[in-house]
Amino acid sequence: MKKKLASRYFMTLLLIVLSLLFVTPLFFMLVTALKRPEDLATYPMSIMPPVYQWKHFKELIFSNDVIHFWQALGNTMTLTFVQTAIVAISSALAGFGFARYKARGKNFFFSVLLATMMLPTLVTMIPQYIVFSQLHLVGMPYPLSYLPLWLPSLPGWAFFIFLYRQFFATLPKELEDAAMIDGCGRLRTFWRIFMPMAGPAIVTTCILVFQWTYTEYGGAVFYLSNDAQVLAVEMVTHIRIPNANVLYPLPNIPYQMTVGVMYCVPLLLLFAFAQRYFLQSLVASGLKS
Amino acid sequence: MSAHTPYMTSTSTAESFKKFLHREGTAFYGFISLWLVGLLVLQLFPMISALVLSFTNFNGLDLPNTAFVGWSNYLEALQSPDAHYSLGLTLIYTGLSVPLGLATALILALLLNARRRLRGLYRTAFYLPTLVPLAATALIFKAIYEPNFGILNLFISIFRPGTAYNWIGNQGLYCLVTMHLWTCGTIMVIFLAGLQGIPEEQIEAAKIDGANSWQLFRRITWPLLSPITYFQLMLGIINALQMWVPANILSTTTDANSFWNPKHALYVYPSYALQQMMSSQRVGYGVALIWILFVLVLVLTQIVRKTSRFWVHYAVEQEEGAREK
Repeated sequence: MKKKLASRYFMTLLLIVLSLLFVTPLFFMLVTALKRPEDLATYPMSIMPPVYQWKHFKELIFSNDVIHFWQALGNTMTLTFVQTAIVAISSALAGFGFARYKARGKNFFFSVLLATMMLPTLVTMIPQYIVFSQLHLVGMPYPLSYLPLWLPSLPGWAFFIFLYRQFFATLPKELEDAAMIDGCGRLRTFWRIFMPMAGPAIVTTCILVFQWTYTEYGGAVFYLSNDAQVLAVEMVTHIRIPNANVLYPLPNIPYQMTVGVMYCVPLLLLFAFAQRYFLQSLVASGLKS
Repeated sequence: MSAHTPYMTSTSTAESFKKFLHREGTAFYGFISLWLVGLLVLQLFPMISALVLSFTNFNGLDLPNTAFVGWSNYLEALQSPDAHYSLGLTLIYTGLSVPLGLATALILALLLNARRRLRGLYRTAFYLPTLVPLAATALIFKAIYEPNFGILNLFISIFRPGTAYNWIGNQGLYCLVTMHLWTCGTIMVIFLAGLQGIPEEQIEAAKIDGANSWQLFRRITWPLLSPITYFQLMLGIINALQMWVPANILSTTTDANSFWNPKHALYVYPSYALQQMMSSQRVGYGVALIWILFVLVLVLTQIVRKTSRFWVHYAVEQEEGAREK
């Protein structure tokens, strides 16, 4: 019994140490955002900022001196919301087809679907980039500049098609029959009867697509430039420090961390309000086998 | 027939189209048509054209003056020291980050599963890092590893004053792996859900039979988690082989022009391919490199698939149980 108690204490201790280790970089981001550049180089190191530099956040929010923050965040949001809507609807269409109708060749296409899930994105994205740039779809004016990122989502993402299929397959057959008798066409049946019932699948899709697109970096580097660029790329490449007189790269770091904190806020809010759905979505994405 | 979508005709040839005119079949192809067209136009066509381009000297702009050069791109890729170096880096990264990430996630999940009090708090602590966008994560770790002012060196300086070790320059790969481990919360949550799907009675019964914790894990927990592990292993390999964003952010300066800079400390294989395409304008060679990567992904995932029957256990009822939770 004593041994058991000791192992329990050990496990608790391990958990505390590990969770502190995991939180430390986040804590570091927050305190660094509030430090002056020269505070970073003090020796011995000071954990808390000697003077809290709330002005970093002020500069970010109320001016464009450091980075075009609102523009970049707005771009990120535009990209993300449209992307989420596209994937949520188009994946549902294909998933519905796979779940509710019998057809010759369905098994074949279903295995094609499963195979495309394992396709590395880099392998499709680079050839897509070549085709899009030949079609002059790259570098179009503002809202159209996101077209090369939205277009590949129009067919739906394989993983979410699969998710919707699993969901729609659980609904009773009578639903369609009833809709049919009421004279509902197939698209109307899908849109008016099945989609309103697909809440869990829609929420899962939206949360995951939102998170993945909001944090997207590679695609944005390929396709976007200047005014259309998203926050992820801007914070890495376009932080300008007005009259910096401290040794490079020191002046950048606090501002990078400030932008980093602000960048995390929308996702953290989403997580705070939809934690249960967030974790459920993850589980849905991982238990598939 | 009112619901048939107009995309129908573009999906299949005339003969097979007649066979498919059966109502349900038509509906099926109507609903998947968008996906099917997208698959052909946006995935298959670009990939095939990239395959064709990989045998040419295409520079990204001048398609009319592009000539076929046979296998020379592939031969160059096999001989180039840069390709060897970057591929080696990518393979070592994959070999380290994927197993270590899975192991860390599993250990965290097992620790959390055994503990009831404050579980939500610990879980949040492990999960929070995955909510930080990749670019921000890379910048945080870049600041931590900074040679002169990074928190890691300042911390070591407490014990060994004056430490100014260039972590990213000398141990870049391990910096990347550590960063990857920091974000293993996603897989941990998935493991945790799998663990909670394990029926309580089964564990009680085994305990009554006198099984110790290792036997419990080996005989009950692990077999039930192995399908999840298998799926995560596959995904992990695919993602690790095409990892390049954090490597580029960590090892280049924050200047837009240097982003495609060749020969930085963390010159992973995809970075090399992209650099060849974007700044050296050698698109033909770049897509050849990408196709080699694709073949590598296929080979490695097939190897894992072949070995899976030795260690992945499929138990249908328990799987269902896990899913319902």
